[in-house]
Amino acid sequence: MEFKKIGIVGTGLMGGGIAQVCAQVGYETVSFDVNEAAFERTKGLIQGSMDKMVAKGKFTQEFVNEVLGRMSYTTDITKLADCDIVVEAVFENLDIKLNVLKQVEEVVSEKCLIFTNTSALSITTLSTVLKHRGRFMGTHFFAPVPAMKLLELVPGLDTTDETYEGAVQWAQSIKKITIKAPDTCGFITNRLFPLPQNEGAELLALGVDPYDIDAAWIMFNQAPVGTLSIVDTGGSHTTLGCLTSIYEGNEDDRYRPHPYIKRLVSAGRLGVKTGQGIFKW
Amino acid sequence: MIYIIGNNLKSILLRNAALKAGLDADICESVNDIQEECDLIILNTEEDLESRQAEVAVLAEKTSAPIAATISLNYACAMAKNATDKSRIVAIRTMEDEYIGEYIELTKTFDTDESVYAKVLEILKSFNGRVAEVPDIIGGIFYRIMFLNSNMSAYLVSEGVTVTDVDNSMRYGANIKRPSLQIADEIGLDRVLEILTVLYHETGRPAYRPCPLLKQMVNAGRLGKKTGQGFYTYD
Repeated sequence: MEFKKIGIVGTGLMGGGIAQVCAQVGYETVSFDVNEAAFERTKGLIQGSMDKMVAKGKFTQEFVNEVLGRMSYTTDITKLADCDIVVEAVFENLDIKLNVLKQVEEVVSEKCLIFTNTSALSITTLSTVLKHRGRFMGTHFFAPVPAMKLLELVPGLDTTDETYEGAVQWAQSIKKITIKAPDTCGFITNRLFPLPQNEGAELLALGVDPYDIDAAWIMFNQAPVGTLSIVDTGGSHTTLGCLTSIYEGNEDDRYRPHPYIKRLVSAGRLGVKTGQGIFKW
Repeated sequence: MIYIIGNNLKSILLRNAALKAGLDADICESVNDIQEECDLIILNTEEDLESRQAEVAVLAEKTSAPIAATISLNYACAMAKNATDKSRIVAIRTMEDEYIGEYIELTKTFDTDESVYAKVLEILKSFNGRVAEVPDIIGGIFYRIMFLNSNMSAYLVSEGVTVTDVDNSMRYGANIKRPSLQIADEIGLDRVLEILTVLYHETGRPAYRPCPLLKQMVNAGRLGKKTGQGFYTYD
């Protein structure tokens, strides 16, 4: 498949990052959002991310200018019409995503691949709003998109092999390492990460020192950071949300959120951003 | 002087950690070989509950030194059950591999004397690793946390996810150099299954429910690196 122009719907942290990595490898990108106010923030984030690469000597200013020149922004969804791929990366809400995907399909060609970026929603459920479901599948990028190598690719029940292969080809072109995940809540990564955190919470409730848990984790797994520090970095409310969605979505009681995590959230101990979570920051 | 009882690899690694810390340490075959007083006895014979209880009882009778029994899936307090003087008994838990000495968990029993505990803590800290002071919970931190993802990864493989994709999820999603299926193969799937089975039985927490695929692989003799075939194939 040949891809030249990539459309991105949503200009948040994920949408901005996806547009950036596409433009960096030579794709023309068009980012759509409902109001222009969002563009400035995204442009600032992208500029900041690329400035860092210039400072590190990895990018030249000339290259950055070229990349920025390939990126455009619009509040007119019909500007996505000639895209080869459209990645929908709006807020993680089923109704909002269903509405956006329907609008996207109305303006793009039949050949255009449509991807939804999600960490939690069912790809097959999202596909039901589309007329041509074979060209649709899920992507799960990790933040910050330019730095994180992993990309989960999630076919829905109706996704064709051709679409999946197209997604792999595109993912490789933007230098991501792909893993093929089943369309179950949490895919692969989010079903692995929260378990040690949830059982870690059980140990905290039993009086274990969180620093010891993280020290053991780092040493045994040769990890850069402890599993409980990840809770505090993302926010205990994020961990709670992730556990709850998998617990409810898959009816899997391994993910029943531990009361200790609920207590942290209810006390406002969200982690780094509130100065106190499992650890003091 | 530290005596380590039990002739096995873990004892050698513990002795090396002690020697590195500038302490005298020696390995003995059995409790009968302990002839003189010392600063600490580490009991690291095979972890069979009844024989351990008997060995601890003999040592407590024979010496006045603190006795640290290595445990993995037993309770610290169970080690002291038959000893006349329970105040000198603690339990330690190490990792299962080359990190022995760099991370040790120390657990007191119902009856451990505070001054004994403090003395053992000081000696273990001199090994230059991290000493985690852990309450007497089954599996401690190490076993309770480290094999959850090996189990979940096995479930993912049985759902059709490839072994490489599961491990790449941790490798590239969290920059973990030693992902879960690799760990399971290195530790041995029979040992991982044993750990999960005990933890599930003792805690009732569903995250430890062993994956049927693990049981099948163990039954088929695919135990990991040591048999040349586990989740990965080895030459």
